[in-house]
Amino acid sequence: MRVQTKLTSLLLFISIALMAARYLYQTFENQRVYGLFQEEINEKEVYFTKLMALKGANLKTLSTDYTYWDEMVDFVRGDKGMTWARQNMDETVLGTYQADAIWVYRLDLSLAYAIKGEGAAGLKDFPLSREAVRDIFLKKRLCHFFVNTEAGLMEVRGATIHPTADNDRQTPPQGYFFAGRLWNKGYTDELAELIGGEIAVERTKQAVPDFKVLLETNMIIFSEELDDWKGGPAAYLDVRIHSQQMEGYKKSSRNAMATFIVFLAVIVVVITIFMTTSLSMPFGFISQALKKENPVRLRPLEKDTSEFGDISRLIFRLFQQREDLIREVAERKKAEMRFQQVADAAEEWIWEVDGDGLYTFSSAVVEKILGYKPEEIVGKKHFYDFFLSEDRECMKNEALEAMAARQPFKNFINRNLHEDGHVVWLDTSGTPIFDEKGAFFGYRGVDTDVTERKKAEEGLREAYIKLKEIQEQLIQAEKLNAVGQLASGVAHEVRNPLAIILQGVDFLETKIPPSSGDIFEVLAMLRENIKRADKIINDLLDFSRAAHLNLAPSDLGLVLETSLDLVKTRFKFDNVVIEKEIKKDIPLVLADKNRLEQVFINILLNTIQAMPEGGRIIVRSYDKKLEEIRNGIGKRAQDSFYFGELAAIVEIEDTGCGIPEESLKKIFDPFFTTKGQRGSGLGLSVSRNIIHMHRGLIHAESAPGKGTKVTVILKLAERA
Amino acid sequence: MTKKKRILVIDDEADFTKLIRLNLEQTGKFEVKTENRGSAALAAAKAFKPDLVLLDILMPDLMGSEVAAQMKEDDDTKNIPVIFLTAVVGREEVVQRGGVIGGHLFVAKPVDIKQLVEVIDENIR
Repeated sequence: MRVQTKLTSLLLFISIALMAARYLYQTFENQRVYGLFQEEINEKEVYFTKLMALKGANLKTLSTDYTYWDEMVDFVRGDKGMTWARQNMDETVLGTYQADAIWVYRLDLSLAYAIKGEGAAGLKDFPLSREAVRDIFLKKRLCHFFVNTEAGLMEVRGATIHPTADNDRQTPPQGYFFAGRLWNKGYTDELAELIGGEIAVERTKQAVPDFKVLLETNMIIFSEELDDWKGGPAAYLDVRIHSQQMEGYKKSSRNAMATFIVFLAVIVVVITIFMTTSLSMPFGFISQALKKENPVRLRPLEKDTSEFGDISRLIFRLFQQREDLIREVAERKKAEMRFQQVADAAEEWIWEVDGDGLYTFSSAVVEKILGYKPEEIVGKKHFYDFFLSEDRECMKNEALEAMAARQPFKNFINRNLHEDGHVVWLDTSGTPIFDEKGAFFGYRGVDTDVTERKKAEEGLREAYIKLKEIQEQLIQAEKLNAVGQLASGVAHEVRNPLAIILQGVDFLETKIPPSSGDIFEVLAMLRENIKRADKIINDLLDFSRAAHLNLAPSDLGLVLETSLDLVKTRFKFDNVVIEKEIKKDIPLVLADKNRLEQVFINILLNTIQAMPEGGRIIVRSYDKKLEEIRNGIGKRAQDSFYFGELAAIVEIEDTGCGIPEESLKKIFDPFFTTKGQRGSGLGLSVSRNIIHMHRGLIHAESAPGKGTKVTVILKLAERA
Repeated sequence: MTKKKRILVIDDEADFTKLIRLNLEQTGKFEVKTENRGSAALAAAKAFKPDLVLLDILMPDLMGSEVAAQMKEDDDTKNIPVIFLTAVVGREEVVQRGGVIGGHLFVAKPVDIKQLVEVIDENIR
């Protein structure tokens, strides 16, 4: 319930309470007035009775004083004449005692004397019979009653007559005395005047109105029964008094009530005004200000010294703070929106992570970059969850270590897995974020998708490698060309003298007798060395000619078969068995057939020569994915094959004595030979050159005592 | 006794032609004439009418290949078999190619006389 409603209710309650108080007061006042009125009525009645007694006292005195009197006894006995009676009971006596008539009876109930005043002139006789008189005095000596006469209602007092000495009337009565007074208008008016009201004599009893009516009219009405000689009603006195006192009471009561009401009204008004000005209005201002959210409505309370003033100033301040806050929030929202717009518009992925690397914010562009919606990332993914599985542990630890240092980082290049499974290269930069208290909160940063750049770089790198290779090839070719030119020049120039020497040797051999052993031996040595020199020249020429490859897609199996045939037809090796494990239908290789044949022949010849005691040679060829890590396979610029590349493999394995490790390292070096003077040391070197010119690999493995295996790896035609 | 086969040896190396002549003649099967100038080779062939010509390729005045071409164009010499005797091509290569390069017979220098005689015997008409 609102305070104002409460205040109104309180006011209403106070009003009701005050009205109740007024009602109670009224009730008490009424009861008091009733009481007073009742009291007054009683008082009036008593007063009237006393008044009647007082007014009747003369008559009573007359009836009692004249009846214990010897002279009166004498009179009723007849001892005194009428004169005495006329002298002692004349008009003056009537006037003195305010009586209208006197009747004196003898003991035998005969009338001894009677006198009537002017007022009772109409009265004929004593209004009661003689029997009645006798009955009256049979029981009592004094009597008082009313009787209706022709002249009107008469009050009668009577007494038995006794001697003077017997004022207690102990002696037997000597006669009977009656004094009567007529209750004419004059008398009742007099009474009425004394009582301060109106008096009416009625034959029947008049109904007295209800007390409330009397109270309302301020009338005191009561009826006084006037008894006859038997005790029954002879008449009724109807007394009506207008109570001035009650009127005064009531007036003062009314005034008091009015004053009380005015007082209450003043209280209500004062409370209302107080509540309105001191409570309701300030509440109203505050309520309106709060409801309309308009602090201007608090202006009237600005200088108020009460608590409301304090509250209103506090609210005012709060409103101002709120406005500041709203402004600030709006500014922040604007800034946030700007940030969001920038984040949305940016090609870069803007993010925030907590201390554990869990994303707390992600711009929408992440969907373009990694295929995930921001809501699939924020609170669900750590930055390292996207790393490639092979990179993850290492890069996660590296990144967490960097984060632990709370240092900004830049251009952290990392590989991530797109939702669809392809690799995305990201360039990540970040800076630590701290809250207002300086506590570390996490990192905020930017990821740039550098996949294209990486691809371009990769392409560039590949192109560079190719270029480098070509350059190297060119340099090599140039070198070899130079060597070749030199070699061919030298070859020609040397071969000719050699030819001459050989012809000379041939000639001399025909000229000496077979018995001259030493000369013959020398000539044989010359011949051998001429051939050796010629071999060196040939190898040198081969070495230089490697630059000139005539590449074409070639069937490796066929090349091997040709090489084997050539070896078989030209060299005798009865004790060597050659086993072929040549896989059919492998992809074509890009090769210069003749050069490749030369390589295989070289290797085979070396192998055969390595087994002077005979043995077994296994020639094997197949294709496979290169999944071993070794020189020449990988991502480095100088590598010929990438990891996992499909390539053609040729293995030539023997069961010879093997090659010691030290020699194995050098077998492809130019001029290295284990064959002593029989070899030029260029055969395998030339072979290696040829294979390298094919962008292939050649290597040898050997287990001393068990044999040697030479492996040649060649590029497939569609990949070369 | 059968008539000796005539061999014309054309090579700018006089020592070589001399020794070849001596060695071939030593076999008793051949009559040998030598010529050291390429430019004189055709005339020598026309005059000598050999059964086979041993022809050097690299000669200072005229290349052996040109001499062979001239001989091919001349009716007198066009049917004479020519064996190139050269220091330019290696022995092994010649062997690998079965002695034939570009449609011509080749013998690489240095060659021993035994081998040479074998080739001559195989190809002489």
